[in-house]
Amino acid sequence: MPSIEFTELELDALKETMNIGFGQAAAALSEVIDMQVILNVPKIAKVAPAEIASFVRSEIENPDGFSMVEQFFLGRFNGTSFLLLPESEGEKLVKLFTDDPELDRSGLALDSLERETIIEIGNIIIGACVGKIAEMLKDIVTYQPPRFFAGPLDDALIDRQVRSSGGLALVFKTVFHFEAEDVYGLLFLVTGEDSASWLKKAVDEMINGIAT
Amino acid sequence: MVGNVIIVDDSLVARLALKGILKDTGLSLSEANSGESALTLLAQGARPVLLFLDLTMPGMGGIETLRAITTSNPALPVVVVTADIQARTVDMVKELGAAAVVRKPADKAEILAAVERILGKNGA
Repeated sequence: MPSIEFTELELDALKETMNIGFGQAAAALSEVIDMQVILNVPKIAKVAPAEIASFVRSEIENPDGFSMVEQFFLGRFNGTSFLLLPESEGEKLVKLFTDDPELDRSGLALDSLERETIIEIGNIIIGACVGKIAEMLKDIVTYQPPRFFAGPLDDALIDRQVRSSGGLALVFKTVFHFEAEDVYGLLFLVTGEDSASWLKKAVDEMINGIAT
Repeated sequence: MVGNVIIVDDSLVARLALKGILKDTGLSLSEANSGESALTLLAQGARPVLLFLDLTMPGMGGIETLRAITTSNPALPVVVVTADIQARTVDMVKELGAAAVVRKPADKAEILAAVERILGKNGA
C-alpha cells in the first residue's frame, strides 16, 4: 500500500480536531479533580513504524520510570492510545483524585490505589479525547479495557502495542499539567495506515464543509 | 454590519471556519495566526470592532494575549473561541474581560448571536 500523504491543510485540520478532543478530555478530568488542567498545543508527527518507540522515548523527560495506561480504540478511526506519567506522579494523582492531601503513605494498598487511579484517569482522558475526535469526524468508536504498565520505558512493549494496532501512520501527542501542582503527563494516539487513510477522507470532508 | 474583525488562531482551518460563518455579515475580516501577530496588528493601528481569540496557541497563548489586549485596548470586545471548555478557564477569561466565550468547533448560530449582541451593544 502506498504511504498516505497529508497536505498542510489536512494536517492543520487534524491538529485542530485533536485540539478539540484534548480540550474535551481536559474538561472531563478537571470536573473530576476540581482543578484546572493546562493543555499544551498538540503535536502531530508521521513516524516510521520502526521509529515509534524511540519517538515516544524522545518525548519523555525521564523514560526510566513511568506509568502507562494503554487502550485500544476501534472504529474507522482506530489505533492505540498511551497515557504516560512519570512514576513519581502516581501518589500526587491519588491525592488529587481522592481529594485527600494527607493520604496514608504506609502499606501496600497505595500501589494498588495508584494503579487504579492512573487507569481511571487514563480511561477518562482517552475516552473523552478519542470520543470527541470520532464524533467530529462522524465516526463511533469502541474501546478495549485499559491496561496498566509500570517501570522503565520498554521499546519492545511500545513496538508490540503499535504492531497490534495495525502498523503506524500518525502519532498525536499532547502534554497536560495540573494547575497549582507539579504534575504532568503525556497522551499519545497512534493510528494505523488504514485509519490514516480514513482520517484523510474525513478531514477532507470537514474542510470541504467549511469552504461551502 | 460594518467594521473590521480580527480572527486570531494558529489553525488555518479554524480561521477558515470562522470566516465562513462571518462572510455574509458585511464585516471585513482580518487574520492573525498568533497572539504576537494580533498585538502587532493592533500596535500598527488596526482598529477592529471585534476580535476572535483562540486560547491554545504556541508562543504567546490566548490568556496572555487577552490580558495584553484588555490592557492596551480595553474597549475592544474579545470573543474567545476555544477547545478548552473547563469551567475554570471560562471563568478566568470572563474575569479578564472577554465579551463572550464560545466552544470549538464554532457553532454558526452561537457565533452570529455573539456578534449581534456585542456589535449591537457597541453601535458598530
